[in-house]
Amino acid sequence: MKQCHQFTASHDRRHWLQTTACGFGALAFQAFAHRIARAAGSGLDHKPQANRVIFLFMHGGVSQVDSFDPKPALSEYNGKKLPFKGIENLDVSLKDKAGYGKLLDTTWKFQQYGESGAWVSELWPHLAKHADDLCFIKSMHTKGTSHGQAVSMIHTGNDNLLRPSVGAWVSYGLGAENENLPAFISITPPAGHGGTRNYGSAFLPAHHQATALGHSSSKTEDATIDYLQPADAHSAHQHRQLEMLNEINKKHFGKSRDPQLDGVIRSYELAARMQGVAPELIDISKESKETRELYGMDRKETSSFGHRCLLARRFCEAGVRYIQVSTPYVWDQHNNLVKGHTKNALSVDKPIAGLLEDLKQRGMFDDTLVVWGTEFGRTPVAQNKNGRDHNPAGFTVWLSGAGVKAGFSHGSTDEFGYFAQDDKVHMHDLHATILHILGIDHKKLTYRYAGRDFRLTDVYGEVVRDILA
Amino acid sequence: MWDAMSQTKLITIVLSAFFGVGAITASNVVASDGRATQVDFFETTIRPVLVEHCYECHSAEAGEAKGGLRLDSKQGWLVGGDSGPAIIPGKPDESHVLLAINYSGDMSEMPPKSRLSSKVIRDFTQWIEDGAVDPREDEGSAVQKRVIDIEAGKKFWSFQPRQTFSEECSIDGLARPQSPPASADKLVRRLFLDVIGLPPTLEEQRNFQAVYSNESPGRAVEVFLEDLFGRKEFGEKWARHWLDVARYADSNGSDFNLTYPEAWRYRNYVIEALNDDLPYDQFLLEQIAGDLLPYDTLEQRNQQLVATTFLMVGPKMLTERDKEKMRLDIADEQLDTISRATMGLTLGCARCHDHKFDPIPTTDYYALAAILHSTLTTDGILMNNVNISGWKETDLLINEDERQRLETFRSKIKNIEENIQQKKQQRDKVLDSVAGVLVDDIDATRKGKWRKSTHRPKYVGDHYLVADDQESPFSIEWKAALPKPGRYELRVSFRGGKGLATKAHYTVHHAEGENQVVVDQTVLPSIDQLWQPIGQFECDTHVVVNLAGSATDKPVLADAIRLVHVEDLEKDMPTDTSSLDEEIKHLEEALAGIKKDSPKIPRAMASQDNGSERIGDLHIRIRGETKNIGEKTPRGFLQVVSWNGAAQPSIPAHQSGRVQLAEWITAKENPLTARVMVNRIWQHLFGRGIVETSDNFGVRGTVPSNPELLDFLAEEFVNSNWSVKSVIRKIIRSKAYQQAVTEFSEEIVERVQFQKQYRRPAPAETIRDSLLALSGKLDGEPRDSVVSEFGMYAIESNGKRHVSLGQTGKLRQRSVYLPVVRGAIPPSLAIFDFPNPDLVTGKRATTTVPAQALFMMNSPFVHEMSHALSLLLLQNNVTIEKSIQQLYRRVLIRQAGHDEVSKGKKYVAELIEEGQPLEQAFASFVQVLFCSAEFRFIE
Repeated sequence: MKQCHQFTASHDRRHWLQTTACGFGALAFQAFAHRIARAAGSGLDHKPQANRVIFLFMHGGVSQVDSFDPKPALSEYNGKKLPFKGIENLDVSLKDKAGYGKLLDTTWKFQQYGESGAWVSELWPHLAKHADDLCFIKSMHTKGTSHGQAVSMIHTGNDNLLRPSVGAWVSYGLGAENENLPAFISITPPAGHGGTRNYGSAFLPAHHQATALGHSSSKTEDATIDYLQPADAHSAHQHRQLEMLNEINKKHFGKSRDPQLDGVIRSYELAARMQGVAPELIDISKESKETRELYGMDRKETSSFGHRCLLARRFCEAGVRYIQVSTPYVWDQHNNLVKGHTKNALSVDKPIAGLLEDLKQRGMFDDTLVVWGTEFGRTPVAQNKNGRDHNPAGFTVWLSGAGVKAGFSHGSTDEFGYFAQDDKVHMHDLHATILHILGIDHKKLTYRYAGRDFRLTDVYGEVVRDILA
Repeated sequence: MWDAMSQTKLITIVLSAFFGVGAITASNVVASDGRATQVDFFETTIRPVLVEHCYECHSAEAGEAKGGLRLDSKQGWLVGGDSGPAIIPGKPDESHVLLAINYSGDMSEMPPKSRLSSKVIRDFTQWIEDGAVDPREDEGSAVQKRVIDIEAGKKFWSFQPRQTFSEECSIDGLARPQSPPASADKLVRRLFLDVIGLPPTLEEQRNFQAVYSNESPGRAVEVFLEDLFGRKEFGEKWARHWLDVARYADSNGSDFNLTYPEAWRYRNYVIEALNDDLPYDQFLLEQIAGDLLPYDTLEQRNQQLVATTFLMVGPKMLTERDKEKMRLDIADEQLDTISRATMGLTLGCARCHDHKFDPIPTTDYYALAAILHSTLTTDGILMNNVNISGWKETDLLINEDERQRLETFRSKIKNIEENIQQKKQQRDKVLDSVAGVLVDDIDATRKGKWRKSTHRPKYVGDHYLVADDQESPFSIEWKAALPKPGRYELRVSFRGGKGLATKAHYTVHHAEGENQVVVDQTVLPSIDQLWQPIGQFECDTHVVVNLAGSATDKPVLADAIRLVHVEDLEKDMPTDTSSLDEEIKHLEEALAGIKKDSPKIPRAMASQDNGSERIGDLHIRIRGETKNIGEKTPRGFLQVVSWNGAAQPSIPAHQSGRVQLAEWITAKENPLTARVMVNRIWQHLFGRGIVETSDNFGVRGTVPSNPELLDFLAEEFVNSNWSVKSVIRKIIRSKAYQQAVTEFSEEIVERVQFQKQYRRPAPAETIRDSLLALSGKLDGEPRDSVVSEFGMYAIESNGKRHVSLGQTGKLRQRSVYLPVVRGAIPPSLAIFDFPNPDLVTGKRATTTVPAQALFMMNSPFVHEMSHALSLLLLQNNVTIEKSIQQLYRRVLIRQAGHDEVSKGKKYVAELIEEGQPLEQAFASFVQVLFCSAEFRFIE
């Protein structure tokens, strides 16, 4: 009985620390917990290949058969019926009564690039030059035929329920590299299709959620961290105000020694440091002309996404663990595929290629994992005259940088690019693989909530070993 | 290539549909060879495949039995996994293993990475058809299906009946407080912030102090507590605690963030229920089954209807295209909310498999889920899109007269509409009898971009055409061959409406030349709302009609044309057609007139039972997959939560069972409900619950640190007729509550046993409301809908949001009345641990993060409050010393120390010296106190 009692007490103390000593204190505690976890052999069980992730999210659904997964059969059978049943619950207009649709050939020419001979369509001329840096997964599949579900799936591993986002799990698992900055930053995250839940912490402690810079429809140059700067002029004296505050708080703490109060003191200190560091990071005015051009910031079409990618690199350099960059919700071409995809690819192709190049030049390519993804692909059958519907059954993502084979392609779809067929990779598998590359075993990174140990991949997920470098 | 492709697919299809037939042929060959051959067949053909492709996840060796299934012994597949036996010897088409490897869509696809070859699938089919001879009788360790022992489960503390207590028993007797009473200043601040969420005024502080020192601390608390209970601010503070648990929000969030314009009624219902001290059992009954309860007055009916908004305000995947999955997901969300909010049980796990920790089998889950599944939550469609579901709203009638008026109004409308319909049918009949030549768009010649559509309700043939990609010119040409020359009326069809082109240019080529006719497509055509006569023309045997355009910004519709000989018009069109038209016109005008005067009836987001066809028991969904259907389970309740051998209430076949569900939850004997609620109340007054995991009273939760205290409070709660105020009163009047805060120490044990009060962070609302109140800026008026101005979308899918959603910092009402838009919680709340309204949250996180510091330092809101209070304090031209003393008294509810006054004075003086005006310099100091840890904590 006595032992039992003691157990309760020590458990409770740990919990007490966990729930109250937050902010700066929490980071310290986290680092401490992190070391314990390593020593105990749980959670972080192998040497990480990457120290951070940049996730480039193409919101709306990029068509794989028009980008990286060429299907010659499409041109042969353009306008003919799909010879098998398509997925359920898609738009009725693209099917005839039997549930079949008519195939639609791609408009864009494909060509092989680099030594790896990767196929890339003319939509992606700049990225094509990096063919030998890319590792394609052409057999992706996911859950959810609507954006809401699939966007939630790619960000949180669940198509319906609120769960922590990938970046929040990474922050929880690895903590911050730079104590003056959050571990997870989302640049212009989508405000629709779940909005904040796509970069939230759900039931994980709140400081694991992303610090957001604006949202997907804000102008990149205006995107900033909330309340980073004082609201009015009198704050010219803010440093003195903080000194005064610190004195008052310390006196209060001195009487009580309550760690909660210490947490408040540290949170003001950290905030003040963030206030010193972050604005400079967000301000790109000191970047050279060459760098700006590398990201396409000199051209109207590419300046916005180029700016976002450049910010990602800057946060990366500053030691942020997980950085997401999102396009607006523009890829959803049920109509106007040719015009839409041309415009969208144009706006991101050069900036992404620039980012890869820049990471290389700065020697960061070797410990940074870049993931390019979309919530689902698009059907090889036509919707309307010039469009494609959602396709969660088969699509392409690519990874690049630390931890993955360069100039490699994994998995395939069927002859028309509809269903993932060989070496299928589910979204859960992609998540497991990203965590693996960061040195985390996805089955061991758990958090207890409502009586259950939750993990990013739920009860699923398998590391795609074939693509690991 | 094409052939190879279609063959593979063909085989899949044929196999999944006809493998039985194929297998019979094969079995005839093998069966005669006897058992030895069959073992051989297994060893050479089946076992290697199992080892290579299945053991990884389904064997003892790998330590995995995914889906509960093991395939490394005969026993393994005989017992089977979550879906039951995996192989039925002789019956390939009923064997789950075969369905899975066939990728037939009825089961999970196995192995998950790639489909096995057709040959392997044929082999398995044959093997099963032949009786699935499997020699691995003794291999693998014994396979046993875990069975939940309900009786053993009942022994867990939270399922046990409550202890009873003697009359002498008290909170203080059980909690044994050891510290002296808190000082008058600390106690009055604690009392006000805990009970109404606002700081005491100077006068209230003085009065409290007087009773405290003249009589006793306990007496001061007693007097003021009753005063505070009488204020509406009590409900406004405590409602928020329940709204956290009820995952209340003013928008859907999820995939499609639509505004919930009527949700506010529920928020105000909760506030009123608390202020009126509505018994908690009744409070729950109304929220779960209010629409089904009897009522004496319409007000009561309305209140009960509004209460059921509790079921409705969860986030819903409205665009889920598999609507049965959506309904099951919603029932799941509702069930999880009800069970966690009221009984502290998480049932969600049991949707896919028996609960791994708590004694809750899947059958219990579906028994309960069926009750919610029999309830109408989503209703109809939105935006004319079959993929987007809407939700149920119900009229709230205030009195009988109004009901009469509404009914009269509705029947009047219905009559007229029916009348119009009738007249139109008559007219259609007449018109249909009109002969003529019809040419549909499908036989017309098109140029440019036309898109087929069936979006509009009326068209000729299979579809109509839309030209809405206006970059290039477009045209369509109908050619009609006429039976005889003569004068014809030309009619063109299009279902007109808003947003279409106002000038569609038709060209008619006829015997006498050509005519241009411009048609306004925004206007509904006069005949059958589809056909528009556009003129009469002299024709020989051919007419060509052309519709063309370019670069207009509005879409143009094209469908069919019809040519009617004027003789036929005169002959077949009886004189009364025009009178019919006239009548219809009058009726439609009358209808529009009546609708204008429609009585404005408030509506509630209220649930109701489904129609009889959708009421009933549910089939278990194996692994929670919508289409993986298992046994049907009768509706009912948790077996483990039952008492005195009492039979569980039975549910009438024609009802959802929500009344019985609510009665079971609120039964006095229910071991969980009262405990969970008193624990929540205790938590809000001490910072942590007696059971620390206040939403989880299951095996994975924490055990009560002081079980007697918990049961004592629960007993008192039930015996006081479930009065929430009475429990709060008992706790606040205790010495345990009133004692001074003990400083943090390593002796956590004492804390756990609740002998002491500890310092705890003030909730977001208390910080914000206090700032407003102290600065004289609080608008104390209640609010109704705070989101109706946002229109249909709270936040559009492209991220666009109503401008005022970004300006919540300018709102001055109490925090409980701020808009709770999912994904856009006002920063003043979100930053201070306001819970995510997608989740049931009984215990908020308490974080101290830099974002909070940034908000306090830099937000316009805190700056504005600091300035306002600065002006208030300086307005009477008092000295800086006086102002600083006043400031401490108001903000921190205590006297300022001498050194504090002198330091403050020095600080202000220095800023003034640097050229800042007095109000600004003082505001800067006010802000320092707002930022202080002391202000942000309750002691």
